[in-house]
Amino acid sequence: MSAPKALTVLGIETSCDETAAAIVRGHPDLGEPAAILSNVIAQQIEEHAPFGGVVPELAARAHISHLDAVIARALADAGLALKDLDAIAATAGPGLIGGVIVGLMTAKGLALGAGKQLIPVNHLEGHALTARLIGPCPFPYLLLLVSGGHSAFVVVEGVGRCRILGETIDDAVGESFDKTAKLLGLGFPGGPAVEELARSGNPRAYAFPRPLLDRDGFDLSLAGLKTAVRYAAGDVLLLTDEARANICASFQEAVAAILETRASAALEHFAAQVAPENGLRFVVAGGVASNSLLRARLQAVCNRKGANFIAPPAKLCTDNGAMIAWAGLERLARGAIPPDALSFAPRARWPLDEAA
Amino acid sequence: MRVLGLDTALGALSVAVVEDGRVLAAAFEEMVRGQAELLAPMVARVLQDAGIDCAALDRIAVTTGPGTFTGQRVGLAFARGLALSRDVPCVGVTTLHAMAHEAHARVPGAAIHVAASDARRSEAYAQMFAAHGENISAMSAPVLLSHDALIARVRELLMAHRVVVSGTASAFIAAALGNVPGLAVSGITQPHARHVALIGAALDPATSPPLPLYLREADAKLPGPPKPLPAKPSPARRRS
Repeated sequence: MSAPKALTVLGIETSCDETAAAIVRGHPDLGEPAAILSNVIAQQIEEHAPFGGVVPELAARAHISHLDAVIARALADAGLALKDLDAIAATAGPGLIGGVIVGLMTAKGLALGAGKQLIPVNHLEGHALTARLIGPCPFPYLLLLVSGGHSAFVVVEGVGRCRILGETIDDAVGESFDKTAKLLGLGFPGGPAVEELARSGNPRAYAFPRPLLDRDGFDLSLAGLKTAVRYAAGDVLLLTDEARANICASFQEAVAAILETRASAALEHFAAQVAPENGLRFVVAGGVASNSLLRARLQAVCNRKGANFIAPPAKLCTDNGAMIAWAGLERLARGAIPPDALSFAPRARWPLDEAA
Repeated sequence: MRVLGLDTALGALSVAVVEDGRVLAAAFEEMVRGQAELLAPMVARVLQDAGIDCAALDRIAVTTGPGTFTGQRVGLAFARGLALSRDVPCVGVTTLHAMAHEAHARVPGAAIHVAASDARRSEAYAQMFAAHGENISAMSAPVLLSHDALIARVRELLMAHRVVVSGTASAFIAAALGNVPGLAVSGITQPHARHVALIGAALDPATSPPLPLYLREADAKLPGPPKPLPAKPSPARRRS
């Protein structure tokens, strides 16, 4: 049998506050990492910073202003024209619907005009499959998806086949980082700011709660932790720099403890119930996966459990077009594309375990 | 010149292909939502009806608003994507201009056209156009007016001109003014892509970019000072 032909796909991502487009070339059956030919990301930090969080209407307005230029740049960086592509993939949900509409409708216009296949992609599947973009990572594997909008342990059995073991019952992990940063006046985006300040703090200064860990299962809960941070901070204006750093460090420690406990249990369950013949793989993805303390702690859990720890580089953990291009490419390679893609409805909500 | 016209900005979806002022094919459907799903298939169908494919288009014209924020972006994003793929210019036309343009073709004898769309909150998006023979030209940029201010403005125009009103706000303007001489209601309540394309054919892409026209700010509130803490459930635990 001859080797499969590499496919070239443009990916468009607009579901939150990054306007992104990228071109990826490869094939899941080639046995070699795909090539990211271009990866353009326009961030909207300035638009949202005064509000301490992403404002959906402002995000949508920024996406429509920048997206076509971002796409043109991705094509130019790759030295390609639309005719060189095999397909155009775009996030069709879940996310802030105004942004999703801009990305999907732009992709529909491009696809119709260029006569290319449109592939509507679930943003979460983009995160879930990123590990396979950067190197070999056969199915099945255990995924911890941690971002500003989602936090879940997922068994990834194949393209379009994900099973959620447990997920947050209230705030997402990234959301709790952002809320902590906002409370302490650290600005937006909050995750990197909390991580930075935590470096100089004492992680044992505050005994923040680890909600839900007294119960079995793989669900997460972060809302109580956020409230505890608020009480510990008291009058924020009176906090010393040292106290701020200690709160950040103790908060991050609590998140790390929650995730490592749950990850450990999820890995045991995965090893026992799924028992993959080709080894245990634990993948972390999503914006929070760029946090180096959390990565180190999850790596340690994997070392203890004999699992291979796979974390994409930070640039591919936060939202980007390359992961959308790759998820589209995986679907194109398998012919797993919804019929009538040009009439696909943008979705605000689209659970990972729901068929396309 | 072959122009593809699109509109999804208000309460309808329409697509048209116009060649040198002649309509080759068009489709129009009133709908409050669902344009994101139906736009691309409608474009494919209208192109087929016109007997051409995308490569034969010289220009895209699309409504920029005023309208619903989501509706404006559905059409604009699609139009910009399509224009990028064909490397053709994309021009923006206001929804109000498209309605007044159609009213002028349908209702003879107007000196001034008022196109006004109800914008809820007792306000309307409005724009006035002066008629010169077969053409109309904008007397002002689109504005957001209270219903009362809009009615007062139309009453003022009626003192010296024959006025034709179009758009979803025309019903309450007519109701408020009663049976005044010189006032006519066109019955046009939504833009039609045919007129978007006809107008767009004559516009300079450099001065009519496909940018959304927002007459309202995004609803975003700047954060205030930190909220006071509710009573503590228990003293903050502190180690070390």
